[in-house]
Amino acid sequence: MKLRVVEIQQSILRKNDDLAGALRERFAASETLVVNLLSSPGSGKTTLLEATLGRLGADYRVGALVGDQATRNDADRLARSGAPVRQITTAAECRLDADMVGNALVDWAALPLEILFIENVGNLICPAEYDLGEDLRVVLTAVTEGEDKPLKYPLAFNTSHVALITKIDLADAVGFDRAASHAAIRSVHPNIEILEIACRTGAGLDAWNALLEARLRAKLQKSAYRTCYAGTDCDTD
Amino acid sequence: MHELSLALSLLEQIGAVAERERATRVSSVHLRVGRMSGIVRDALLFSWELARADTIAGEAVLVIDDVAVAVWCPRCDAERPVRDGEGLMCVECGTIAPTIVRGRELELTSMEVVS
Repeated sequence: MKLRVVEIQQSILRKNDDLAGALRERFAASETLVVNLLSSPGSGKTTLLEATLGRLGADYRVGALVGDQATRNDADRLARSGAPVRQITTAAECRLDADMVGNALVDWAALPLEILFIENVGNLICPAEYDLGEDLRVVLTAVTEGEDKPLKYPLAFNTSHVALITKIDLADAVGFDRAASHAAIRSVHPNIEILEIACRTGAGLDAWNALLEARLRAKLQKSAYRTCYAGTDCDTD
Repeated sequence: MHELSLALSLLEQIGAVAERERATRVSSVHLRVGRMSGIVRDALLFSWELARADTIAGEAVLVIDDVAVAVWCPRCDAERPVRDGEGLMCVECGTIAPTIVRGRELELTSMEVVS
């Protein structure tokens, strides 16, 4: 009997990272822009998606995966927009992982999509650790939550590409300090894109939709460039 | 709370290493866990106790090495700690330093095995 030490140095999240990498390849091939929405419960992820699916659905093939610990309520709500929606119920789990996303895509007649939204479980801690193969990570914080969420949960804001300040129509009513909020967000991510929106009034939604369309175009261009570079399908015009 | 699923995926990795090393038993497992990894140490230890039963690591001690958060400060041109609740701000010069260089670890670093 021999006792010895084995050195390993391996991330415990490696399996998720590998699966997320495979999803990213798959979404590159299908030219799908994937948007992962993160926030606390009640910041307005589902309401934003209702508005977004409805508006973008007219011009693009859009769909959503919605994660919750229980119920199909969000999927039912979003299905009214007419867009294809699948619910992922996570039971005890506090976040979506790449495996859950991969499983939810199996036999989904709606694929391929041009834009796939993934509404994560309402939680600002755990989802920040899990790559889902997304192109764009978007964190939402409502004016009713106060200004200091980024200071309490820095990683969610640090790893996101876009921060949406939601329910901005209530800012005055709740005494929301916009400058303090922007400063808090920038204190963990100076270059992040910040948009103020209100789904009830429609404020900021044009900018949000334009941002998504620009990201989709950028992804398609990158994809076309890659194909051209590989010499398989080069449009020389 | 995803400590239990982490403990299960950790045990999968341990099983693979143990098999490769032709180990008959695992006596200890060492992790590095960053303060910003979203993991609660006690919850992970609790989950570990439940998850390790009837595995090759059934009696293995889990040793967790905490890693404090550090950022790269572009102004100091050095690695610096941050204070909780102040965002990612260099404690030396107050510059916002969004590049996290330590504190997100969730790493299986080593195991002691019997073979």
